[in-house]
Amino acid sequence: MHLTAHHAFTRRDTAGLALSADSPRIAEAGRDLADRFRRGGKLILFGEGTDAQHIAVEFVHPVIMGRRSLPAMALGDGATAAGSFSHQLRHWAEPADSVLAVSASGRCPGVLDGLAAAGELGLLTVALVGDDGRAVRADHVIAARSTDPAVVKEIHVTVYHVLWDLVHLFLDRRGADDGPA
Amino acid sequence: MDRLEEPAVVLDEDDGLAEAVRSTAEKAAEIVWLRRQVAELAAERLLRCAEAMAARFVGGGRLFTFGNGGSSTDAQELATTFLHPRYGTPLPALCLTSDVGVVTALSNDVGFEVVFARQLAALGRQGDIALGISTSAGSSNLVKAIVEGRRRGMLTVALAGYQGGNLAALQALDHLFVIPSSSVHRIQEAQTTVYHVLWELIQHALGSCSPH
Repeated sequence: MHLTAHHAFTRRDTAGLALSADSPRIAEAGRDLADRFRRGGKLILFGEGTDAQHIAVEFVHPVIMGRRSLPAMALGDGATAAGSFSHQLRHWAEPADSVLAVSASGRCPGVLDGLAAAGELGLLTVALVGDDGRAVRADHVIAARSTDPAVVKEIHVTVYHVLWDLVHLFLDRRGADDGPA
Repeated sequence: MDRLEEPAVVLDEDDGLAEAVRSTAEKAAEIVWLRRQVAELAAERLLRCAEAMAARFVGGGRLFTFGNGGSSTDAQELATTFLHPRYGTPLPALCLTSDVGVVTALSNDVGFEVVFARQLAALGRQGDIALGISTSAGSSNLVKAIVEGRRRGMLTVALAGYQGGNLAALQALDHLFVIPSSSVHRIQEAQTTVYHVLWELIQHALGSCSPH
């Protein structure tokens, strides 16, 4: 039995180590998200599970003192059926906005439909998926190297924490060059 | 003079990306290392906690999860993992932040520090499990809920960060898992792994076979 607990942890290592290889992709997504915020856009979040709400908390109420609040909103439930996220997007999205969609499978009908609608509306689209979801269509696709939804979620939490940090890094950096954002 | 400065500005425009790549790779390495450290520190105790929780479920116990902010989304996800598992046995679990009506009623009329404790007082009974998630480990509503849970004969479990904060000294707590990091983000990431592993171990204890 003792081995089982250790095995459960070591099972995470491969996907965790592989994340470093995706650093350039994640950095580019962070840069482009920062550009949208600088243009006055907001971040719209949706997906399977509760990650969208978690990400909204990160942006609206930063854990690091001195970091400013940025406009982010999580869309209400709609992952399982097509139509809900896209409907909410059509009524909320403005041209400078971006979307960050989270789906471990990358095959969630509501998420795919939401991403398609966001693309049509000209929003920047970022998708966090698992190994099975690489075919998803978005400007930036970041795929955790695992097919276990639990492990994929754990990698996603790191990715969106890093994206939040990078957005501030890019905003601070260019803010100094360009004057007020 | 202005013209001479131009190349420096152009070079600087790309610099943000290189720094971002480096920072991302560092954080990715940091969480792998932290997960390994948590495995060393907590594997044995997680197993004992999983067995105690499994025994409660077998005896008809239910799981109540709670937390604030990002941790409340983890508490919701955890309750869903138990109730709608992707394999194994579905188990009764409820996240105490899922009822916004009750949470805002208690907060407005009494105070936010009583939210989870009052809900446990109303719903919990002997044999149930109270599981709180906190990064700071300082939340007074978590501390009060753990004390209330113990008073009602519930098994009490908490995930915390830093040195365990107010939870570390709490007699009412049966199982405490502290993530040894000073980064709120790395703590949350490691906690996600901890509660997933805890669920896997409980399923294992109940005789379910993992597909992994």
